[in-house]
Amino acid sequence: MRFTYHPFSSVVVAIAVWLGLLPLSPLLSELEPVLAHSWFILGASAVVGLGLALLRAPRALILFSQLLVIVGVLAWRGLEMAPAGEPLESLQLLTAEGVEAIRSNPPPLPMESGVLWLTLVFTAVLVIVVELLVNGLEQPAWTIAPLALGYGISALIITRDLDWLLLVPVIAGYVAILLSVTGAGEAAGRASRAGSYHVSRTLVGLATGAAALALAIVIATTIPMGEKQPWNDGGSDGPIQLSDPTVRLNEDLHRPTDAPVLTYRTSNGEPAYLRTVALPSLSQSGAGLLPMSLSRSGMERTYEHRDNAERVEVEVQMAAVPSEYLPAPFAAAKWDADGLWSYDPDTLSIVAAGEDRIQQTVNLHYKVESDIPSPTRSQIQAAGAGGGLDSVTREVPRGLDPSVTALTTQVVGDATTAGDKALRIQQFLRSDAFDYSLQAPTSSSGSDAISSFLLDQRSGYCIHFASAMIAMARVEGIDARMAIGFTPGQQQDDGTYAVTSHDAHAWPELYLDGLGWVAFEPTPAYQGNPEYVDPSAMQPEASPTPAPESSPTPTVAPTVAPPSAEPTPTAQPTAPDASDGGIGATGGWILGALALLLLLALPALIRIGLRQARLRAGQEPDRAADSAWNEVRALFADYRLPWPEGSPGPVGVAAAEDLPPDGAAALKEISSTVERSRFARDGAAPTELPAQVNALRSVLSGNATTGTRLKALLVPASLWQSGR
Amino acid sequence: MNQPATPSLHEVSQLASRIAGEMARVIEGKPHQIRMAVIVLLAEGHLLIEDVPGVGKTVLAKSLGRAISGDVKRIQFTPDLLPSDVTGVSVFNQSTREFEFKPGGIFAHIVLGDEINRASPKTQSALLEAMAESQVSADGKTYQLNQPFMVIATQNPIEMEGTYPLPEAQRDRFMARITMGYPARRSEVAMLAAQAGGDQLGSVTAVTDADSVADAIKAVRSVYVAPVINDYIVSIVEATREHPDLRLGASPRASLHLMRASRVEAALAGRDYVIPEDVRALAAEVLSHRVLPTVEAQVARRDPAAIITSVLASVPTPARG
Repeated sequence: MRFTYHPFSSVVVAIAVWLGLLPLSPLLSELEPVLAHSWFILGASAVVGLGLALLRAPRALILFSQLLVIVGVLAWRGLEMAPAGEPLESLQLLTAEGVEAIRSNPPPLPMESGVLWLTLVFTAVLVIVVELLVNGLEQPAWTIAPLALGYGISALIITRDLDWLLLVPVIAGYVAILLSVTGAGEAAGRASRAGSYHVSRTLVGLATGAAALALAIVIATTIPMGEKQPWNDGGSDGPIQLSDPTVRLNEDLHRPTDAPVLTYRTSNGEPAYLRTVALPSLSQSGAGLLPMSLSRSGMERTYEHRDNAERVEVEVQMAAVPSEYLPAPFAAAKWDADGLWSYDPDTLSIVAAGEDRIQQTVNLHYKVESDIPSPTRSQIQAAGAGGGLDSVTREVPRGLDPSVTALTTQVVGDATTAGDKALRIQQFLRSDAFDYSLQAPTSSSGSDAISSFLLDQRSGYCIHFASAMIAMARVEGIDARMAIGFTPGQQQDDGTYAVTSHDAHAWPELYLDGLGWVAFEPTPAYQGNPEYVDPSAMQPEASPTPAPESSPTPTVAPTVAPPSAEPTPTAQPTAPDASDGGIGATGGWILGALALLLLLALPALIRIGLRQARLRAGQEPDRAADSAWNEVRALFADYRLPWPEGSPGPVGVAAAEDLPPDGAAALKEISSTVERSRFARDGAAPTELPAQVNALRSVLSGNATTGTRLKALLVPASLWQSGR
Repeated sequence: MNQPATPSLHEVSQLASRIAGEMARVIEGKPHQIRMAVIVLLAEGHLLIEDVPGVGKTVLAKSLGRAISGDVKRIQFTPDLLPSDVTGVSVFNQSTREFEFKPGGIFAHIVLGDEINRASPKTQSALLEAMAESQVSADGKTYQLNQPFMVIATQNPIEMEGTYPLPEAQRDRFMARITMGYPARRSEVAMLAAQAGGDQLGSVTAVTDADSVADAIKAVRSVYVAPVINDYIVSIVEATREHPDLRLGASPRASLHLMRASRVEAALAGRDYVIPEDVRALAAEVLSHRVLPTVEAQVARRDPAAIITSVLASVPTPARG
């Protein structure tokens, strides 16, 4: 019934848990950070477990110390990764981020700090549970359950077949644990290996583990997928198939009958452009979508330029119009709509994610809250080009006629800032040089639609104007993309606005430094979108008359917020704050450094503690002599001195030969006292021993090289030798 | 010369080295054998010297006797030697009309039993009984032997002709067995040079007397043997009984002899207690003549001394009882 307690079992457990993390690889975009960071936790657990086990500390103490250290290291890593702030809040926020990322992303999850944090928490829980099973409850067979958990999770979430090879490290770790505690080979001789009972115990253990594993696999294959991860539904792998919104736009615009699309009411009563989607890519054949990595929550935080904006709530009643995008003013912050919706963090497009995606908007009634940006003209003029975006929004379409570049340079003239350039391009496109015409050839002719529109035809409708402005902006190095959606529509008597299919529209969004994505309106037929871009163009839509050039006069619209808008309540609760940030990050660093120092100093501390214990006063004389002798032996080991075999007297004489006289004298006295205490009739009084041992230590230390002295202090070899 | 009281162990140690030093003057290059002889003397044991003729067995015994100025008697064991020749015989005295005990060769401090394996078993056992009991019984009377009393028996290797090898039970009565071995070349040359001057043994002078030796023996008895050491000795002896190379292990008497010898070893080091090293130093000499190697071990030329060494390595040194 005895269980072999092996001091290295903590190390084996750490390795096994680490191996157990490998099957998580299909779930994560990168496994390396997890594997690397988990060593902080596993290493700490292993070092503490090994160190204390070698010191023969009680098991409960070992487990408790491991728990403390693991929690400490976990907190340290968490504070490292978390946004600065109150430590507890930071960790909460980190956890929330991780949960969000898991809930809103199809696997593989992006390796964000939140996800990494959760995997580290997972690791910590695993190692604690396994330690408890192995060294606390002495039930190593059950460790297969926690060890196979990573595989089980992967098997549950990943619909495609999980690589069976992923089980190999799990099994390997499991077997290592079993062998380390039930014993194999020589070491097992001391254990309860003998007899059939031991064999049956091992077999039962293995069988239990195998059963748990089989159960995990069976469950993984039989449990149907819930609605939690809808993109795994219907056997369709990969992302949602998004249809080309420009096709839809063309259809809408060219539809002979004007069909109602939706009515909406804004909280401030003002009209609003409702955007459905943004097309980041632009090529000669037109604007296009990029693959989206959809999220479910945290939309408000994904877009940071919400300061210069007004929070508007829009209540929308859709007609019987199918759409896979939820029309919403830019920049949407949250939505409240039936059905499953996700958003694309890059474009803030809200995308249907439910079963019957295309039909999801039919007769839908929903509310959206958006932060509609309202920069002033002067702000735009002053703004430079923003940066840090995916380069796809800055790519000049391949094959663009060089004359377009020349034209752009000419149009931009002496404008220096990106914002000013954008205004001049907009002004140029809205000028008389261009005609608005739905009859203009669609970009079907293909390869050089933008060039021909800008250079030759100069006649087209919204898509052409938007594409042209995007192309010219990109020539000037400004990030730009095409927004698709609807113009504000007609105000009804009840204060709502009615949007029809002919209100379908496309307009460019340019990314300006400090302002974020700013909508422009190069299409002459339309009033400014929003007004600040072209405040004077307040005419009804569809008027073919080119709008006069924008005027700097402020618009009458009272809704426009001044640039110094009051802080919005939507700001992140833990937004990086200089004063707070310092504490959190520095605290993490200090904690981490302390933990590291503690780890490094652990052997030295343990060694010093051992010495104190061995030399403490008030022991039984025999015990005092024996432990003093153990200390002498440990000192010799620490200072890498040879230790002759034998009983104290002869050993003392032999070992003293290599020592300087004072050390030799001390050693001989010690050995003689110890010898007498062991073998002489009257024993010996060990009262002098501690002083003698300390004297001997100082002689050894003085005699050693600096390197040896440091080694003796920091990595005392005696800790690794079994002191007999 | 009466010693005032039991001498200190330091004096015992000095006495031993004086005896050994005097013996070394006539026995070249054999300090170990000399030391063993002294140890056995102080441990109240008897010494068996086993070797080919002419390597100095007799000289060793005689020089020891002379050094302690004790009576030395030599009994040349021959096939026709009678037990009474050893122990003594009662003779009817015509003038007193009484039986008078004429002591045999054994009444001496040092008895040299030369070529003991040439005598008949009956005579051998008479000697061995006297050795064990330190007394002789004849005609219903018991005669105490001298103190100190030590038999140094020499034995030719059993392969030689005309010998009755000592049975195991009788070898067991000797505390230790040593072999002389041929002297080193230089020692032999030195011996020749020394012998040129005439009787060499005559130059050995007494460095002490029998009473002093008896006192020293008493002093040695006071050396403390910790229980853990006794345990160690028994462990070693038990290990010989279980050793696969031995078909006969050492007897309990072997434990006793090993303990006594270890006490002397400790005393000679000036210690009044025995440490495991004392035991180990003498284990081979004390145990190897009592054990019988298996045929396989003999074929493999594993001699008992080597086996005893391996036994010592296998028994853990005691730390604390």
